[in-house]
Amino acid sequence: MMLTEQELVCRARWSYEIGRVRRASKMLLVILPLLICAWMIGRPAALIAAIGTLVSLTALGGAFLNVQHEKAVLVGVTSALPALLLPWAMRNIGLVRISGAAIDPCIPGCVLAGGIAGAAVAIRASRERHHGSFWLVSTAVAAAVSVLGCSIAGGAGLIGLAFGVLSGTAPILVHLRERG
Amino acid sequence: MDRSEREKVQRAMIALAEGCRSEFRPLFDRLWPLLRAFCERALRDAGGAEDAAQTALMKVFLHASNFDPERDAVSWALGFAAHECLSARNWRAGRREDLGDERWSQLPSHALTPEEAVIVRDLREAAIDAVHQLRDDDAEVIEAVVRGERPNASAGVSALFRKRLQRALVRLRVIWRNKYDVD
Repeated sequence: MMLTEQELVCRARWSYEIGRVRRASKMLLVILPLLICAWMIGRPAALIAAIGTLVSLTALGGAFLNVQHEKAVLVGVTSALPALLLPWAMRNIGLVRISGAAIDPCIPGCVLAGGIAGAAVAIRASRERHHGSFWLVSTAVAAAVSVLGCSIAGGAGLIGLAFGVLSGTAPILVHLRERG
Repeated sequence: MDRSEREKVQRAMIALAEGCRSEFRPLFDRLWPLLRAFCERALRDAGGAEDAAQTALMKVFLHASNFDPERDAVSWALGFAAHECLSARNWRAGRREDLGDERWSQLPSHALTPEEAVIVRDLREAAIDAVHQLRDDDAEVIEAVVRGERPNASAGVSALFRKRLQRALVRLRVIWRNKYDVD
């Protein structure tokens, strides 16, 4: 079949974009087990559906755009795993009594997991050439996945998570600014 | 394709695999003539070569996102073209069988890969070119041997022919060595 060069360019471009969609679809192999895991630890179906949709769209879009965003999504998901599982594990311990006061261990768990996620994302982003966009995508995904876990502790858990993410990220950002 | 051009293709393919779409057009402009020329040499059929090259080009871009930077981009792309040429040749051979001519089916259609066929053809052309640089009487002796014509006369004529052939082959070897720097 004889095609003009312009038609051939269009078809080749379509082939390339289809190839990228195929590659991006493999991100679902990471996201779906995560959502199944969230469902198994008893997170509400509505929350899983909302966050699952958000994370899936971000992951598919990121991987479709370029490899850097694909890596950012993977880093975000990986660094948020402690925040997904730690509050659930600590909830099983129950309330902890320290000098007469009952403390929910989920809240310090969320702060700790948030700190780990924030630091991991910031350290990884600092090694990338376009660290700003990498950090943004990675933090968005990490925050969304962490909310699935830390919402066990309610609003206080989410505030603890945000505090943890900021305190984990801040030193790296300061270091980056100093480095120029 | 020279080394710098090859490196440009390699860099463009790596960038495209990472999602840098601005490298699409430069890569297309370098790969398309390369694949078309390869298919034309392998198939010797302009229409079939165009189809095979187009299919190969589509496959190259379809799989470009999964390109391994450790591999050579030009060889990787030519691999798709070679596969398409082989498919086209097999399809042609199958079609001849369908037409019922048994002589076609006896042809060794799977004997050579497209790359091997191109190499053999290039070697044959190089040999013919070298023979044409010989003196006429030397070229005549070699062509007679290639055609299977040997003097069938007395022992003296046969020995003379062998001597002439030996000298012609020595001169041919010298020409070959000077031209291609190999024995």
